[in-house]
Amino acid sequence: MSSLVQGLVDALSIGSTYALVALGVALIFGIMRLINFAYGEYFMVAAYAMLAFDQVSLALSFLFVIAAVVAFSLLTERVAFRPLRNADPSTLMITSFAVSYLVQKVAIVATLGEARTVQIPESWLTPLQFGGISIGKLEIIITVAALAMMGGLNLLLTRTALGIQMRAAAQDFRMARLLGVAADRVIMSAFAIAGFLAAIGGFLYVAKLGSFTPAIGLPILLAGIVSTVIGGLGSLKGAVIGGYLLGAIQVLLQIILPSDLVAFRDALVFILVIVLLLFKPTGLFGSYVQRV
Amino acid sequence: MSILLNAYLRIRPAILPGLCLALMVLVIDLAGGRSTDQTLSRVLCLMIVVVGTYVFVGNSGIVSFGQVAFMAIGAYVTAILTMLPNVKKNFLPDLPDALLQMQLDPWLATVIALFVVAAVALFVALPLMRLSGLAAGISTLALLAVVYETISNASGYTGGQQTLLGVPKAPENPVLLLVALVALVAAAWFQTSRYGLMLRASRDEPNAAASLGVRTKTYRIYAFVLSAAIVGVGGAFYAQALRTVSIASFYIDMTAMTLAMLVVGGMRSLAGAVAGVVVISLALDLVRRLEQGNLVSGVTLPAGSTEVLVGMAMLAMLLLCPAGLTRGREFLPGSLWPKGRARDIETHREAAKNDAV
Repeated sequence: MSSLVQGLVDALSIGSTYALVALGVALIFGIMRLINFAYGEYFMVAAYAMLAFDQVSLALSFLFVIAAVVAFSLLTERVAFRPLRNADPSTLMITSFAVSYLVQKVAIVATLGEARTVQIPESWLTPLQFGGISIGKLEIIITVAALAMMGGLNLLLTRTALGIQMRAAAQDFRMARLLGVAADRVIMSAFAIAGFLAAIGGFLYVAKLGSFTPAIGLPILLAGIVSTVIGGLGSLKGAVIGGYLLGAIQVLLQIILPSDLVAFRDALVFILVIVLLLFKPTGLFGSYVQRV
Repeated sequence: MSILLNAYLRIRPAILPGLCLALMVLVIDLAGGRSTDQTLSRVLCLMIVVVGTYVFVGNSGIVSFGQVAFMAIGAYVTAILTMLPNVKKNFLPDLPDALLQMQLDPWLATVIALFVVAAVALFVALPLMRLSGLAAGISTLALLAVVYETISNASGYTGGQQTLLGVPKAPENPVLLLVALVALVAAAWFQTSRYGLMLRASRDEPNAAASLGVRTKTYRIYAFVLSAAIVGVGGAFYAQALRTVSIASFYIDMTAMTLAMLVVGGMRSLAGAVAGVVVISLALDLVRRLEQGNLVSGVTLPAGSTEVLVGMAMLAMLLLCPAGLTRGREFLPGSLWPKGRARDIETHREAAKNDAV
């Protein structure tokens, strides 16, 4: 019973992290048709930003991470993606790959590739007890934070003028522009929101890991884009469900695989995804249909 | 006569780039010492890999991040087939006895590697090419991750994260050059074949091509398998050139380097692939010497500068001139500088877009 609940909580918290990443990727993809490979680097920036006010003040650190990642997100948009706004999606994708690679390598040169550690409050680590079942507090914080962010994003997209403009732009960018939607404003808002999601997700993810290297972004990015592919490119709902599904599959495999096969867990997950795509090439909720 | 003419027309895109490459390699090979000798063999192997990658990326227009996985498979198959039996017993204890005792001629091993890689690529391509171009591109990154994770965790069969030593030495550089030229000719042959032409049509105008009966997905599979086979051969020779194999060298860094070469040269022409390898290799060699600090006294770049350079070159080229140095044009004999003028497909597209608005 205890291990079952623990597994469920693990799946929820990992899935929440993935869902946040997938949401950020899907949001930008919806509006710009850009698969943002640099999104993993937003997490890396979050991680290094945590070092600035480490052990000084948690609130200050939190605010600084948000400011740093949102600024970095807007910077990548301004420097790398805006000049290519009319380029085809493959060029945009490879550009984001180049951004990701460059930023990561600069970080390695700057830090010599060494691992860094962050301190998080002791109270976050003590597990909660529910009638003999102990559950990690951080896992609960991650899950609740992710759900709150999704709710907030949903409200933003459905209830505010900006959100409605963003959805219109995602559906038909040119038409939206003709109807008076400001392209720069919508795209920069998408990057700002994606940066905000990465800041929160990154803060909690790094808090859970405790230490990190400049390579922290890659596994996160892989999980995020695999989630969006499972859910269907271009669907926000699909991205969230894809994220939770991926988390659940990973935890499930972790439990049921014999110990000498656990090392192959991630390889197996990716193979499962490819099999899924065999039956449903557009993903579960794919709305983005490329004709060929 | 017409057969000869036909053959000439088919390999035309490979002729001038091939001649330039041959000239450069022979000059460097004659002039250089032992250290350039090694660098040159590595560059020639990368040339094979990049030309192989181009066969898929250039013709289909789908960016693949996964071709390096086939390079890894080619390298590991070669290593497993050619290392000394008692060395294998140390590194790869779980191999079946038949494989443990086997020590093949490197050339035979390379041919086997080619077929193994082609078979794997076919198996992977069947589901992957069902996806839309963009999703297929992303999924190739997952493929790279699968191969990387599998090889680095199956330590009994592959040595895991360790470096495998004792792969027999690669053929001399002129022989490697010959192999690279064969790869160039194969790439040219494919892109001028009916499948290649139809695939390129589907790349430029997907809907028009489909409506004319082009079976895009099928031709993408052909291109993917041929591309993987060439890349696999490149990997096989890469293992022989370095005489060692380590999975760490077949991951994101290698992917970024080969893609940077394609992007800088221009990923839509064979001439671009060749030019990219040459330009990036020269630049990297320079930076590597500066890193070691023995080129200009007093100037030593920090370790890791080569990777930063690769990233900067790729990003700068994408921002300033996304079509690459060759702007997607071939370098054909008969028209020394292509007469395609500025109105290539991209500008047509631009014009069409502006008309629509």
